[in-house]
Amino acid sequence: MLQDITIKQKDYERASQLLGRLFKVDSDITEQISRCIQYNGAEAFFKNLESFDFSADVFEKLDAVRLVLFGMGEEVMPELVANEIRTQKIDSTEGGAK
Amino acid sequence: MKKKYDEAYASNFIKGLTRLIGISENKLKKYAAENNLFNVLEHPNIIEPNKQQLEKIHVLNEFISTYKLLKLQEKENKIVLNASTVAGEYFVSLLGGIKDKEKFMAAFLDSGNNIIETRTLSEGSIGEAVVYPRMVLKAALDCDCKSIILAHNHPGGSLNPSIQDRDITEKLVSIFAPLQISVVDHIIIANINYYSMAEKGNIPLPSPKSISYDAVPLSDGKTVREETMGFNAGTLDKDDLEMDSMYFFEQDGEEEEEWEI
Repeated sequence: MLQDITIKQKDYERASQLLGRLFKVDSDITEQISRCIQYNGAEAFFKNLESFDFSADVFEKLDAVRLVLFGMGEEVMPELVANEIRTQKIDSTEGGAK
Repeated sequence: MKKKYDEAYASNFIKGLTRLIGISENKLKKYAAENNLFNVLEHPNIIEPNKQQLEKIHVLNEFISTYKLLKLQEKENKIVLNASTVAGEYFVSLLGGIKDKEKFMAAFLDSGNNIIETRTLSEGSIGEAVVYPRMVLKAALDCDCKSIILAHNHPGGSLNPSIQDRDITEKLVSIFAPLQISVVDHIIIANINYYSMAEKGNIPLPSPKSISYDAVPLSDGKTVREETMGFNAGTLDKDDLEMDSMYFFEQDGEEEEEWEI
């Protein structure tokens, strides 16, 4: 079991380091991301992105990753937002009629 | 209705990708109109990205694999590798992004196919890693496992097993069979794709002749064509058959069928 925790810890660090490389941000931001993912879990981290204290620039980039994951069918959006996106799109493809 | 939902997902996917990678929205939309949009991540060259954009797509792919692995781990706090597809995805997340060296890993499983431990057993240069069977044996005995899944990456991008890949699999199957430890699969990773020897029915039978503790250099150079991948099938002699009778697949309940090979 201890090993499971160790592997997970490594994966949290790897995930945040990859985001750091993708965003080209300093290591303190990477550490902040790592702490938030570890504390909340990967899925909940993206679902609750708005609740963390990231700068506008970092938030924007994390939100872009969230959009990609959402596009791939991952449940990373807050439920209300996810429903809104789907509804808006359906409305627009049906001529906007409500 | 499904198409409209798909459009909603696709439009967000494009928006996110444009912001992250810097590829124009129009280019992606144009590609998506006639093709599977997710090809952009799997085969990025089709949208002709520049060097920087290509590098970013690779990093994003690695992140997505790691994200999926984390989700899997968080779900049960332990990973159950009970089918080649799960094992394939698991090792893609660990080895998928490595292009500068060959790495050989093994997941040691208990009787319920839960991972007891995953270890890196060898790391080499871009085209070669040396595997020491006695190291694999020591690691397996240390954690008291019931079965093992082997995995390594081909930095060159080929998914075909090499002759050495076949040899090390056969050696390890033969070494572990008398100990009633099953080598259930050998997964080869190239980019973000995988090849499962078990899925293709290419896990060799144990053979006493193959028991050797000499180091095996792996290489993704000389590949074995699919149709010749019978391993030692057809060359079994009496000794082989006796060994075969000692080769058990003792796995709990439902999972047993999934790994039947």
